[in-house]
Amino acid sequence: MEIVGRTGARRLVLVIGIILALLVAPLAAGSLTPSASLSPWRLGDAALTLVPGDGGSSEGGSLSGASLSESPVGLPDPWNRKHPGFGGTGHYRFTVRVEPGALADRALYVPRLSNHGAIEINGAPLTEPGGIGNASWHWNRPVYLVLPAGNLHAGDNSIVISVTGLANSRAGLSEIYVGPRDLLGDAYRLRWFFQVDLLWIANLTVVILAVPLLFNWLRDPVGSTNYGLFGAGSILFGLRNFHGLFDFLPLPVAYWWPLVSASLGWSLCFIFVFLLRLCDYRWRAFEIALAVFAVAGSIMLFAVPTARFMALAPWLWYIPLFVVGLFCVGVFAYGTFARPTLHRVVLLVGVLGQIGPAVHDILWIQGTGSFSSVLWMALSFPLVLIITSVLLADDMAKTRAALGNMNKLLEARVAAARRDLEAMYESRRATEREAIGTQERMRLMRDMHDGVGTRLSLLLSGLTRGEIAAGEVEDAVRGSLEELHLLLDARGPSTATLADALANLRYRLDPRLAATGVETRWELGPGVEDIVLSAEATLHVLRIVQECITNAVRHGQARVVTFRIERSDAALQPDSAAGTTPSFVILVIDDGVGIDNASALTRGGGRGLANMRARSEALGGTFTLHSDATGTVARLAL
Amino acid sequence: MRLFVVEDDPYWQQAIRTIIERRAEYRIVAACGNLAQALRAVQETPFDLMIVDLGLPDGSGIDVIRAARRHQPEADILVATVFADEANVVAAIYAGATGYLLKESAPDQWIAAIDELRAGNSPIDPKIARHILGAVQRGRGGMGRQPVGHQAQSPAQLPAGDGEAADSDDPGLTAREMEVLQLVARGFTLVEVAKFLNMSPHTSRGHAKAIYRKLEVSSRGEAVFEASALGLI
Repeated sequence: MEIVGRTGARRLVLVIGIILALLVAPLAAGSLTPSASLSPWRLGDAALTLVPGDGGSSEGGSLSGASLSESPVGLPDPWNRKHPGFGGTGHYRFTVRVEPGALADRALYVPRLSNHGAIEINGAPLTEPGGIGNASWHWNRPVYLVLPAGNLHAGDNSIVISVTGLANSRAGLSEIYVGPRDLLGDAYRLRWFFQVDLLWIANLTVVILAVPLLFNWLRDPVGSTNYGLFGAGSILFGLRNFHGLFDFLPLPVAYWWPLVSASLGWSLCFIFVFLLRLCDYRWRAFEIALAVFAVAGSIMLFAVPTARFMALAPWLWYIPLFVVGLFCVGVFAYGTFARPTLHRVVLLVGVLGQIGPAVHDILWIQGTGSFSSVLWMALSFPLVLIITSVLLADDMAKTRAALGNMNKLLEARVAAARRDLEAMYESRRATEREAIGTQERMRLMRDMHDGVGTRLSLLLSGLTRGEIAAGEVEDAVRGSLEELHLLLDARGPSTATLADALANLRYRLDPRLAATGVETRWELGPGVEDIVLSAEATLHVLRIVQECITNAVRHGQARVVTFRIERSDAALQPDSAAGTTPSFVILVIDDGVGIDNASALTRGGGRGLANMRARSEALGGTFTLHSDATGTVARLAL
Repeated sequence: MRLFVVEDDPYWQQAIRTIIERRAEYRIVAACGNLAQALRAVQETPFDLMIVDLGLPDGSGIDVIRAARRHQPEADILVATVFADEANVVAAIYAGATGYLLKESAPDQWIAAIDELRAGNSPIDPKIARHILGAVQRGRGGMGRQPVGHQAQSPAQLPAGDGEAADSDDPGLTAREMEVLQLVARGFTLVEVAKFLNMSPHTSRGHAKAIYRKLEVSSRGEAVFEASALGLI
């Protein structure tokens, strides 16, 4: 709900509208009081004969036992004020003078007759065209009857209205009118509209408007308690108000009256709690006490004897309810003044506007007010409920719109977050690529330092000192180039496994060896093609293998060199086969003369052998060499 | 035989000339030092074999190879390279090269390589074989480029390579060619491959050239796409 002042103009229009609407009800009710045009036909005095009885029967409608005394009475005649404790039938006798020319244009209009009624004219009973007989339950309906010309005669006519009611049941008779049919008919129809039709419309509207609020509460019982409270109160109120529209008794009076009274209390209790909650007052204890009061009070209403009901109900129920209502409205007014919002202000105006109608209606019920009037609150309170429903519906719509906006906002935020993430991911990838590039460069530098760099610097050093022969220069340069080729053999887009790298090496060396008459053989054992080593380790293995070949050809005068890769025995066993460490052997076998028989010139002091041992140790493997006159087997186990 | 030499390094140009002139029947008809010069000469000068260096000062030798294939479809193209690195050699083969040679090779090896090429035999090394196999498998792996009608084909039919290259990714290699490639990829020489497959060494050497031609045909007109698909660009 929004703060007052944000939409000042709209609020003003709303408040003014509510005040106007609240004014209309009393004014309309006021217009029902006999106007000047009706007053010549008003009969304000009657002769009353009271016949005590149980009030439930309608058989007292005859004046046959006229032994009872007749006394003059002024109308309206509310029983619970003028004849307290009386139950039975009251016969009101009127004498009406009818001009001869007006016999065919006379009607009877009774604004209010309660509870049952029967009418006689010149001793003959009349019934309403609608078939309402003597047993009808009139509550506080208006009555309009056309007086048949045949039953009237010029001069004085006698009309008797027999009212039957229970003791303390607000029975009674308002002033009556006998006059021109059209004039009285118009007055009757207007009163019928306010007393019956408008009630239908108002109460139906209250119920219908409250249903969506109740559904809203069902969907979200905790989050929209206010809607639930108001919806329940409104629906109860609207439904129970239909009781005024029944022209028959749906239940025996012993149940009907307590039900009608109790249901009003229940609906009001919901509304009271709603008012408190609307101002953010959540008094658990008070709410529970109110519920206990509602239940206990209802039980007592049903327990009270019907004869005493009308006398006790106000004290048991209406007056405590009124006090509680005053308290809640007071708190609500305080809360509204302290923290005004549009809804609170509008509702406060509406609720305070109920005070007039409420006082009027209480007096009406007590019989101290105008007996002929209609119930004001039956119209004014539905009006407040309708306005509140509209406000709450507006609240709901606003909430939904806000949710929609929130969703859009969230979507935008999610999109922004995704963009951020993507950007972060991109930058991280770039960083990673850079890191990989750096790593690659460092590895290349290391490789070159170990291989080509060392060779070239040694060569340069030897050259400057004049210690190197031309043949050695060729060897050194070839060796350097060889190192670079090895780098390419060891890795590449399509070089993934150790076998791939060795295949590259073999292919590269093969033409050169073939040119010197050396044949190579290539033997891949089972399961060796999946062996994958790091690029660095692969390079070491290739260097060792190349050194072996160089030795075999240059020193051992081999004609056939065999490469053989096989899984070592341990790796072939099932339990270790799945191990992550590859376990395999690389053999370079030649048919040369053997190391011991190599010429001293080419042996080079065994530095190559030491190199190979060092490299295999760096790999965590072992290098062994078996050599005799029929050949050499170099074995690298990893 | 008419030779066309594309080499920007004067020393290497001279070295190549020296090597080649050891054979009387070899005659150099053009020697170009840059891309522009080579592209011009290719249009004017008929030749039987081109020796090309990929790194030229104003561009790539790949473009020379492509132009040479257009103007002299029957000529052989030998890439002379310091390192037979995979990316460059594969790109050259897709452009139309039929052979490659390490520059450091001995003069005898140069002559042998030229003779082999003229005899219809191309060299193929394990790296290149693995690369081609990978590309073919990716192409057949159903990258969504096959026409809908062909999707009902059973997998058994796929490797047959019956020459009807349904899409340009698949060079349409025959089953025998695939076998040759697979063995070479595992480190066997073409002589060994011939022994395994019961064919003459000459036949196995001829397969490589056929494979190269198919790759070139399959990539023609979309060389840029092929190169990028193979991760070369």
